[in-house]
Amino acid sequence: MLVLHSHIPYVKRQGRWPFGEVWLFEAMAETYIPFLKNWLDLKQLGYNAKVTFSLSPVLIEQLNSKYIQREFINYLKERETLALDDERYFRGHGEKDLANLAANYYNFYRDIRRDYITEFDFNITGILKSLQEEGNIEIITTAATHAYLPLLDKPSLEYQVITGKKIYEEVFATSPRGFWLPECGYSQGLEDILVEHGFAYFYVDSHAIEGGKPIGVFSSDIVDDEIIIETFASTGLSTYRPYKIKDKDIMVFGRNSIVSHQVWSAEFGYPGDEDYREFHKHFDRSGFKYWKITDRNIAMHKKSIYDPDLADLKVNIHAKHFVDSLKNTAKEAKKLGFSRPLIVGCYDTELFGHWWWEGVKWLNQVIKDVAESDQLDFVLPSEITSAKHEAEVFDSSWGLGGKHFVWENKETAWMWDIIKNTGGEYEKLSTVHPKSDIEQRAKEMALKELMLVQSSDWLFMVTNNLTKDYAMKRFFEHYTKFLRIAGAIHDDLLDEDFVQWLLETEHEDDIFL
Amino acid sequence: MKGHIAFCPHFHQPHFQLYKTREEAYRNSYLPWLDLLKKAVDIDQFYINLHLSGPLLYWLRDQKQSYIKDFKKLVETNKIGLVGGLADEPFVQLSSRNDDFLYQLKKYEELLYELTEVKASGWQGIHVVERECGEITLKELTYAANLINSPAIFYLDAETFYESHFNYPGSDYDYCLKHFGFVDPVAKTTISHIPQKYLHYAFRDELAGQEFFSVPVHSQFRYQLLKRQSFTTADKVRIKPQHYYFYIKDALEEASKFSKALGRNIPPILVIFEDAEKLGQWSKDPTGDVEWLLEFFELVAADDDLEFIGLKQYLDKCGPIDTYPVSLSHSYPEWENWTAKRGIRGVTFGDERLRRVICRLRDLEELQESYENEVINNFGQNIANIDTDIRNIIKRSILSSSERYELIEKMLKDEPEQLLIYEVVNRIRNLVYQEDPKWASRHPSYGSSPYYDVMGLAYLEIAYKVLQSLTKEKPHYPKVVETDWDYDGVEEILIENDYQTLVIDRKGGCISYHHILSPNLANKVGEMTDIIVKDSHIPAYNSIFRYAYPLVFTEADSDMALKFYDEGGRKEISRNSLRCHLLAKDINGYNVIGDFASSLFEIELVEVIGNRVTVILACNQRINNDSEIVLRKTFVMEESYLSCEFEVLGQVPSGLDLYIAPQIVTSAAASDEVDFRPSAFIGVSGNSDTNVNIDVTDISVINENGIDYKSSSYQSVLPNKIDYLYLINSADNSKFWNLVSYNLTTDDEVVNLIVAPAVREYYKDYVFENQSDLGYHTSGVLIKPIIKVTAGQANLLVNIGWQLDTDKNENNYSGLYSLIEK
Repeated sequence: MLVLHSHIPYVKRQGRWPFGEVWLFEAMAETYIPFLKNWLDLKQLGYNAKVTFSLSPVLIEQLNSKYIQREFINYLKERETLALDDERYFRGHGEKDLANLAANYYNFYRDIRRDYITEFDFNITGILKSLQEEGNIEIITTAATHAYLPLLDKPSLEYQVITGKKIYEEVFATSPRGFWLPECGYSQGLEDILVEHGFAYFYVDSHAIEGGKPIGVFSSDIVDDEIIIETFASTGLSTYRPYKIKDKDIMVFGRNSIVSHQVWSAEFGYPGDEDYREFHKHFDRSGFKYWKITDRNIAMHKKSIYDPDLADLKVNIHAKHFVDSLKNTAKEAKKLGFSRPLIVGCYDTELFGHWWWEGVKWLNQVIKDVAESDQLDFVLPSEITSAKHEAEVFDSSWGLGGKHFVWENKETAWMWDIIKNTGGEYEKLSTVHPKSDIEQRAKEMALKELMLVQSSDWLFMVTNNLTKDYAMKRFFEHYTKFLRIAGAIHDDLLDEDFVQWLLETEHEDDIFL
Repeated sequence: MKGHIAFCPHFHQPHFQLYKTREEAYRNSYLPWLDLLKKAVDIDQFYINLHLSGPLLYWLRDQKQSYIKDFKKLVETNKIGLVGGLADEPFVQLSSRNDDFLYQLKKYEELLYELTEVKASGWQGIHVVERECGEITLKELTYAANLINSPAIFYLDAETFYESHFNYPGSDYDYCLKHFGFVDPVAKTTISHIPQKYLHYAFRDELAGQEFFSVPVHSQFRYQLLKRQSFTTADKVRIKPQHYYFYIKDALEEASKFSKALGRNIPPILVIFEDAEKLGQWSKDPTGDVEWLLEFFELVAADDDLEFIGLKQYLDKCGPIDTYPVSLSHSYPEWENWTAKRGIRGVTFGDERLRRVICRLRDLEELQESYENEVINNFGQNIANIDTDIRNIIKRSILSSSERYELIEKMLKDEPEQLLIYEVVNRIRNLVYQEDPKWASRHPSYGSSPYYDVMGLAYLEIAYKVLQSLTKEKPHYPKVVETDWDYDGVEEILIENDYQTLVIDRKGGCISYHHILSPNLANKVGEMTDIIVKDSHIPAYNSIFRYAYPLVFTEADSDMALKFYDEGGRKEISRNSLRCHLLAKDINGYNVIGDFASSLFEIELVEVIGNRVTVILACNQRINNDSEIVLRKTFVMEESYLSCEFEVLGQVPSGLDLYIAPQIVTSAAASDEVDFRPSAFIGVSGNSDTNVNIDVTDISVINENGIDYKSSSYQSVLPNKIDYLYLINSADNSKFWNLVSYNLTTDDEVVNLIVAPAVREYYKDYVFENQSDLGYHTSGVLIKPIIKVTAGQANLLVNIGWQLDTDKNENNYSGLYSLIEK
């Protein structure tokens, strides 16, 4: 079971570059469109890859925004122009290999624009909807703004889940069966709200079911003596099968640690191969990446020029290796008594193409190799209607340490105070009966700002010291917007200035309409 | 923006195309095109520019009248514009006569009008062969176009206007950096230029005051059109109609912004030029291709921002954006390794075989000019009693006129028989310039195709003889000329009589060109005239080989190429006939001693006695620093007979076991245009007491998957006669065998006899591997006896005879070696 979780925080009209909309455009250009195009091409060739897509509601909203669709075209055209400029520059300096790479970038972005217009009609979610309706894929939802759920208060939890479900139903014209817990963040009892809203299954990390040492793919570079990497008690259970949560009417799928490790591991994972494109080195003039990893331990200025043909060779080698390891895993599982073992591979979609440039090609090849194998089959969660065995699941996440550390630590403690405080404030607001249309709109806006404050992304960025300034700015902006609304309602100061400000805020943060 | 799309497919099959190939293209492409156009003309916004080449139109007129009828109906819908062109699709720039431009255009106009009733004034433009457009070509075409009232509008490669990337300091063309090691800060172009991606307009230009218009063709839209299949296993690119539409609209939108920036705001035009055979014949899926194109047409028709248009319609509506001169001599810039940026002249003169066609054309042109001189003299004497100097000026003016042939034809109006012959000879001469055997023969994607030139030369040689009969000063045959016939700086010996044309090359002391006429035809001008007049409509079939054949017209042989470095520095050399190696034998086999096969031979004797011409060439070489060896070749040519005696004489260094290995070669090859099942064999006879080992190598084995090769060895009585028979199967139901016969006489021991394809591989590693393979089915045969040098001497006399349409067959021989197996 291949599960691809797709999420970009709300960045629409929240700055373009280097932080902001460019994140979304990069994900669209480098991951979503290439992957879907490849998937459709494979389908035409007779391959039917059953993939489970998790799409965050905040991503869906942005993908469906006319503003984003228009600006994405402009973004692509800018990239094309930059690539052409680079090509001319390199040719003028006798750098043929670099010039050819620049020409490749030009073709890449031009064809993304072509496909976005001619194949997708600007409508990525529309394509996904059709595919789901044809039974080729299964789409699941997640928390509205990708909030880290285990640490939320119950009302906020409900807003996140209910809004997530609502957006899904509006876009895909059906109810979601599965729920992706952001960051695989689970705490006992969380499933109750999922059951209440009709969800049939969710996913957790492997150690949540099996126990043992967590993989902890995220934040592996953090050095902090305070991190407790807990070794969970071994349960004797296995991710080779789904489980019914004890006494609850909901299934849980556990992520397979072996298949995750091979892709995610910074040290041993495929994306770190010397022949793959180096993510971190950019050409000053354009920002394009023209170098290969070469050696993970050498200085950036010593990186060699990227060779796409060599990288393609590696893609095929790694795809074969991965599929072979799936086969071996299945074989081992059978020895343990699992006649039809289930191997759940969960990945962030943006890993493929955006972070790992060759990842889409790799995934493509894996899909083909699996389809051609007589030992492996793709499966959708909807094909598994019930679980015979019951399990209790540990509080857990797929972050470092296996629990909540990445999102709750000394760096983020103040943020949680604000999140909880904002939640409490909103609860008070929610009891106020609106006396006017403006007040009603202000209340709705307050809920949106609350949910935007709760995005797990800001916490993650602060913890990892990645684009921390931007994260804090965004966190504060949504918080202060919330405060102003709450204050205005509380003080009944819905004057002209406020109305004008509210209009601007509705325009800026126009999600979940 | 209202972007215009001028869709300009080019339909072409060369003169003398193989029957089966042409019929296949007709089924796979030309008929589906007709079906497509029938549907497309019902689309409101549809318009297309079609160019059907002259050779294809001649064939359609001759063989497919119903097609022409249907096509004419479609043209009458006014949704189809016709693009004019040249009657024989020739590279006229190779001709020594500039009147060929007008001749070609006029003949095309006559033909097109006859078939469609569209006059030159109604053409949408003019197709330039392979878009190869030096200044002379453009000037003469423009002049000729003006004379026939055709619009002088040409579509030319975008690279003709624009080098893809200009020079920069530090780049490959920074010669200070290259030679002195420092970056030249001013290694930049200063010329004001338009970026290539904006070249989607019509441009005005002029040459010698002749105004013309050109519209760029961008290779992107050629390559992307109907890109439904993979070129190679690594190629995953597929272009859907909506993709193609996207790229086109995108390019037009960009170009539109450019014209606004120029302050002109002229709507742009994008030319889609491609070979029409891409539909169906290349893909072998005409149905899919037709659907693809229809979908594309519908997408354009549904878009208010786009419009199909004719080239002339566009010029009339929007005009040119500026005067913007083209650069020179570019065609297919993506194949730089092929043309080395020297255009078709580089291709043609860079290849020995192709150069021979031009040389023989020059002979005919010289003869034609001589005849024209006579005609002008006669005419001038009749009409005016003017000063000789003025008459000479008038004569020169006529001979340099673009309308030369027309003037001559007018002068001959009272001599209908001569006029007819003149017209036919001019016709034949022109068609030998057709592009395919020159262009395709040396294109990396195509195989050797001397076939078209072989047919052209067969006609040319007959035409030559017929025209010669008209001149007052008929040459005394045999005619022997020592001249640098092939312009390589070394004199050759050109010998002509009524039956043969022979060129003996001093380089290697070999025959580089040998053409023969059937003894039944030679010297019979009336019959020869009848043949070429009968075939002046351009025959569809190859039965001319019953009367004429170039026996030596060999391909370049990769075994002989001089390689300077692996990346491509090399000179290819034709195999030719009657080269001779001197060999030494040791325990590892034979080794070549000296370089008798390629060295320059001295002329010892050129003698004409009656019908007999004797030429003696000799090459003297010192081997092993002390021994001098002389190889002497005595060529004797009489009417329908040719012989060569090889003699080697010298002191053989002690311990050396020497042999001579003459190479008796003919490029004559079987041809089956109907079933593609060629046949050829060697028949031997002899009554010697001596046996010899005969090695027949690389026998062509034709099977379902293509061609394999195998070799066999036989023990046989030493043959004193070796006959080579090859089948000609023509689609006009004539099927006959031609024969080339070799009598071998020697006083010395023949230790081995090798039979091999004349050329096994040509342009090896430079064209695709399977295209580089030749064999008996394409290249002819090489017979190589290995003769022991005894007491410092050895000799071999080879008598060469031939019969076209022979009565002989397999039953006439005791020993028979099939060269092509099925």
